[in-house]
Amino acid sequence: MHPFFFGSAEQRLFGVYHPAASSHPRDAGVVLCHPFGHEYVRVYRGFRTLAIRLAEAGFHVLRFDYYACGDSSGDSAEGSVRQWISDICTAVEELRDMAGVSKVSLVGLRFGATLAAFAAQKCDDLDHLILWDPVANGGRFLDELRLVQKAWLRTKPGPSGAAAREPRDELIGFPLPEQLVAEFQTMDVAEIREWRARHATVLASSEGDESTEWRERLKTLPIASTYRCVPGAGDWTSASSVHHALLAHEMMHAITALLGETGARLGIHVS
Amino acid sequence: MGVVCEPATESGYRARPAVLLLNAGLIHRVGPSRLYVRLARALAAQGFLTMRFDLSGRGDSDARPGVQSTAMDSLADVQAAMDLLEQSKNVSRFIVAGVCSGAVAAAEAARVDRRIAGAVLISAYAYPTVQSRIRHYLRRLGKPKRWWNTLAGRNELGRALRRALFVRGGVANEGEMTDDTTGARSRQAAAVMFREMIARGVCLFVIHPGGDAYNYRRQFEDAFSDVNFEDKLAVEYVPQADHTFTRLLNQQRLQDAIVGWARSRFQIRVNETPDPAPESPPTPFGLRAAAESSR
Repeated sequence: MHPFFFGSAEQRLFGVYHPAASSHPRDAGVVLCHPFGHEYVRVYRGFRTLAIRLAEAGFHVLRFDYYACGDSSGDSAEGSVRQWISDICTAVEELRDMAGVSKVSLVGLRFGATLAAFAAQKCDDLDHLILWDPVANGGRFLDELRLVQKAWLRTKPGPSGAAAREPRDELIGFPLPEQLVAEFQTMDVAEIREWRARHATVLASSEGDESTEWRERLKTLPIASTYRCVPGAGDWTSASSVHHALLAHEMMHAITALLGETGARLGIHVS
Repeated sequence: MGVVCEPATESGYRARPAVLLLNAGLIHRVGPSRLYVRLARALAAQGFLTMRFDLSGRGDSDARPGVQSTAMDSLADVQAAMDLLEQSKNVSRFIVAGVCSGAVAAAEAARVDRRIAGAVLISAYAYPTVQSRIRHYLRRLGKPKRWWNTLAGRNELGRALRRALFVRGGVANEGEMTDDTTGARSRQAAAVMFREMIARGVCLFVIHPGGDAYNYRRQFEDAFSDVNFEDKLAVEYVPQADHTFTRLLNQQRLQDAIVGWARSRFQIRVNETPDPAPESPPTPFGLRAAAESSR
């Protein structure tokens, strides 16, 4: 595990590189794309576990913080969807340079999955796009999280009154400036015209309207696609889970197995 | 694994204590809502070298081998971090700070390690007093439906009120703590710990959010009325804040309070020009840490 900073001098990104286990390295890398806001905090340790498992399975893995997130440079209020998509492409190139791999897959969670799907239009030669509980529409996602915030704030100290209870410019501890809201509202996976990865998989932690939508959407994609439900992880809309760490071992296992299977199918063999 | 936030210039920072930020529960080194990142950068901009890092088994750090208690592991981790900065950055004094269990780890380290000059304890060490109990019950009794059952002692509130009326003096029952998720000591043991810290000259900054466990400004002083803090104690009460200071205005208030306390306690002149944000590239720090600038 090698922590480092990469990217431009003005917008340094914090990353952790997990080289493949030396006994069976693959010519394949995986970039992990974190979710947004408090969901990032919930899943950080879980992503580390996923990275370790993938490295043990022979993949070179890079997990990183977007600009203005985590340990990367920038104030939280400077976050930008366009920048985060660009950051994913930067991370893909960084991993190719560091590991010397020719094939790279993206694994994204929640809004990180949405960012990964958009980034896949810009990154060259991606293998597998794994979307874990992906957010289909950014505006709907914000509405959903605002409801979570509202329910959560009801249980906390502070002045009463609707205005105090429902801050519009922040979301469960993270700034939400108008410009960022506007960007979220433009994000709809239905608008993606070019799916450039070789394979896309949606992993859902529960069945519902959104997962049904995804199943239908996958049928229309011009690339090979898979849908799987892995019950257990998630609980994204519960106010009581806002600060609970999410380890999601079943989902980690499913992702590791899935990438291994796809690698074999695509001719990526253990050397 | 940790991230060091360095002041732009080396001038003066070795004369000031370096700041260590300790995990809040299981949250990794960026802190709740990225609070530790903004705090580290704000402190570095004022000339304090700051390191946020993951204690064993949290964030990016492996668990320590063996079967030591979490408290012993945390103490060893804090001391290892101080050793690292002593050797690599030539600093010899430290401030330890943390939220919730991070505050407990900070206090336990400040109790035993002579290198620690200050401790910032956030959302921990909230002990009930007579006044806090009365306020708590009055707040709950504001709901008329509860009156009858309460007065009749038929619900938990009524039973607790009866118990509270039998508390003597200004201090709650020994050993009782209202916010015991942090792994902190009993009140009596905490009083002993604070006396030891004060005797060694450690400056304490205790910050409490609102809520049931802590509900008026002087609760900490009242709970520890048997401890002579001399002039080394400062207390901040933020009644609108939740346990991890989630709202942005509360994060800002916390940041301002800590930076202000550090400046005043560690003799930074008001008119001293803060270090500007540096442009230097990041450099590897230690075996398992990365370094960043103050922004």
